[in-house]
Amino acid sequence: MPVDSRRVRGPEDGSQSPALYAEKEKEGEKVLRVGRGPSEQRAVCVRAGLLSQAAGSAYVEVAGGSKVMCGVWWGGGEGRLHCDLRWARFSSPSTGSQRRGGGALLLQQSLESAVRMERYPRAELMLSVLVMEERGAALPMAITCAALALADAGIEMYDLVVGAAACRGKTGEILLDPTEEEEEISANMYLTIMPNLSQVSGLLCTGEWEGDSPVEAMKLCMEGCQRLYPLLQQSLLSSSKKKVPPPGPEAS
Amino acid sequence: MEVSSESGPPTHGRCIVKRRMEAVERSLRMSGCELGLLSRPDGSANFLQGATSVLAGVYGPAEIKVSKEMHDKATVEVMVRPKVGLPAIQEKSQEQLIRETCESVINGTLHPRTSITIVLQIINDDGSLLSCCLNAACMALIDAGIPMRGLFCAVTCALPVEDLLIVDPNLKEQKESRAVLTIAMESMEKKVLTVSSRGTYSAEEFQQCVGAAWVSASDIFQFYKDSVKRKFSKS
Amino acid sequence: MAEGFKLVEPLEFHRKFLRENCRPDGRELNEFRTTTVNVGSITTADGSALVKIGNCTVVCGIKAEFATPPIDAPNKGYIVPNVELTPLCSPRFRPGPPGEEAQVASQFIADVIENSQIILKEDLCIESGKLAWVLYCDLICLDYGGNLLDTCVCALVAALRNTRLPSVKINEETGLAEVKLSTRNALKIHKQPVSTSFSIFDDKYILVDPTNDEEILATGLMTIVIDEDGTLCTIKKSGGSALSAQELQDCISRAITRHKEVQNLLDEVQVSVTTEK
Repeated sequence: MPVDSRRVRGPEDGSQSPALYAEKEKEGEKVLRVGRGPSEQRAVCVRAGLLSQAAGSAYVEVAGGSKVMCGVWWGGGEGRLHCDLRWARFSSPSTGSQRRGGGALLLQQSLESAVRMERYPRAELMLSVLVMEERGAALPMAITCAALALADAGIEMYDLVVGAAACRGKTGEILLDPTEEEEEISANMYLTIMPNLSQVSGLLCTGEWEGDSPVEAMKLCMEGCQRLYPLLQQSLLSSSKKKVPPPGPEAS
Repeated sequence: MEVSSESGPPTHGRCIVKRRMEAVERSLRMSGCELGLLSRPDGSANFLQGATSVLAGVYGPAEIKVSKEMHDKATVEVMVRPKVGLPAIQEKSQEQLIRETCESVINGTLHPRTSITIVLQIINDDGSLLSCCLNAACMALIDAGIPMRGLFCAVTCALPVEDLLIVDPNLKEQKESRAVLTIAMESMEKKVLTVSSRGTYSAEEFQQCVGAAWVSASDIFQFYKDSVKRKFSKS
Repeated sequence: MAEGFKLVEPLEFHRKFLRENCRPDGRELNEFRTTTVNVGSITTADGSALVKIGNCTVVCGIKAEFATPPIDAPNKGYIVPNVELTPLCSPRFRPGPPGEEAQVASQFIADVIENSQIILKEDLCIESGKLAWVLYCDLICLDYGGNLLDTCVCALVAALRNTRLPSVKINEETGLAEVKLSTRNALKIHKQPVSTSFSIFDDKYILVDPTNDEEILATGLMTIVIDEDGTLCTIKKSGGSALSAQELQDCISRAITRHKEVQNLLDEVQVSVTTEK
């Protein structure tokens, strides 16, 4: 194994998650979704513009779930949107679930269709997303957060990009905004839309989807996104209010 | 004067400082310093403290990459090469420490948009390595003729047990100590330029180390002078 | 007007304030910014803390894993700290592997852990020569507002105090570990180091808890780490303006009072967390 000379070194032969040695819980009919309907989302808390050094920033937290932070700043390159998506080591729950691929690509592609990069031919936009806690559906939250940070930085966009996730349960039912346990079951869908234009900007499907179920899932996701939209608008409004001081006597 | 040669671990007749500062027996392990022994660098020095040996080379003021260029002063770079293996983050942290110490005495504004590179090759480590690196860097800078505001020298102090202070410890003494401090002093006002430490110690002990470093500093500066004199009297 | 002055003549701008013995943000020279601590907010970590000193924000998450103890010390576990300066916190930092500042900060945190003995590595051993805990302490800076090291040390101590490790038993028949994730035990915290940073301005003013601007304009920086007994764990001063023995002593005294402030804060947070549960 190549040794990373730029970090404090850990044990030479690696380490394992203690969850691998955990006593197995009884494999019964685990009741998923307690107190939440299949098309119900968890509550979301959104803040824009809380980082002092970045040009724009946003933080999204799902109640009892994922926490995502994003910052945007101007880079030195040309006419490009550069995205960086990272999961903190402590973000994944102890079950040590596998990270699904394609996240960074989905982030990049969903945003590219919304940001008017042609307005900034001589500038490079850098975007960095950090997932601090993953309790299911962190990827669409990361995309929502990134779009919000871009808007907070005052970047011209056709619309905000809002993401939602859905998964297919054991019996074929479709669940919106899955938790990490629900994501493990079978098939997942991540959808991002531009709510005002009702256009889909990104879609990532994994696992097995049968018959009409993907269409149904997409509809569910789109509804979820639309419900989130006013919340994002509000947070942008309050962050802009903070940035622009009320007109003083000088202005007149 | 109470010189505590009868108590504590063997220190080979070198500097032991008792808790009260008046008892100082000064003798550092500095056994040699050879200047200008390398032909490629603009200045070089091999500094020996007992069996600890560091070879330093200085390149500069020289051309620099545009990305590293600073418009108002010279860019100082330090590279520390360990005796074996590749440099890791510990070396990186030492490099930063040595660089910032050198930067504070180098008159960088005289050579804007240039680079001054200091390469330190550790040849042998027998304790007091960091101070030997700093001393070697300073001597190599002198040899390269880099304009400097003043000089600096570093002293390592080890605190093995209560009431005992060893200046310029060897590796064994260093390992047996509960704290090891390296203090660099500058020559103009004899104030503390750099501090780096390992282990725990009290504020009082820290002040004693500063005192011991202060006392040893004049010896080292004298040694610097002699070494430079020797170089020029040879030719 | 003031904004323009600050932009064009940042040094002179700061000097104007310092001559009057105050700082642009209204603080006195030896005053810290408001410190806030939030522990346990990241539930996926075994221990976590978010610390803000003024604008400087660091989140520390601790993840515990199993590993074989090192061959030369079979009764010890591992503590692996790493400071990450992502582009999130300041445009100065590029994405990719850690740069010099992050590496130096990581080494500093590793030194603080080693010197102060916050946790004894022996406590992390589960069975000698077979199994030990590895504590990955990831310190991620979210907002770089100056005084990174103090914020990191505070976040580390708060997160370690918050850490609860699952209970482990070695099954005698199989020799394998059996973990109960539901029952968790706190770590034994031996020392609680607190770091205090200073910036030296124009070789004469010593400012405590520098902001980002004050760090950039400083002619020297120094960090002192002290534990609850007033024992010094680390003094890091690399170059810059030279200080006299008296000035160093004054800084140490300030670090001792700072320790009390932080200690009280951490204790308060601890109490509020336990009463909530």
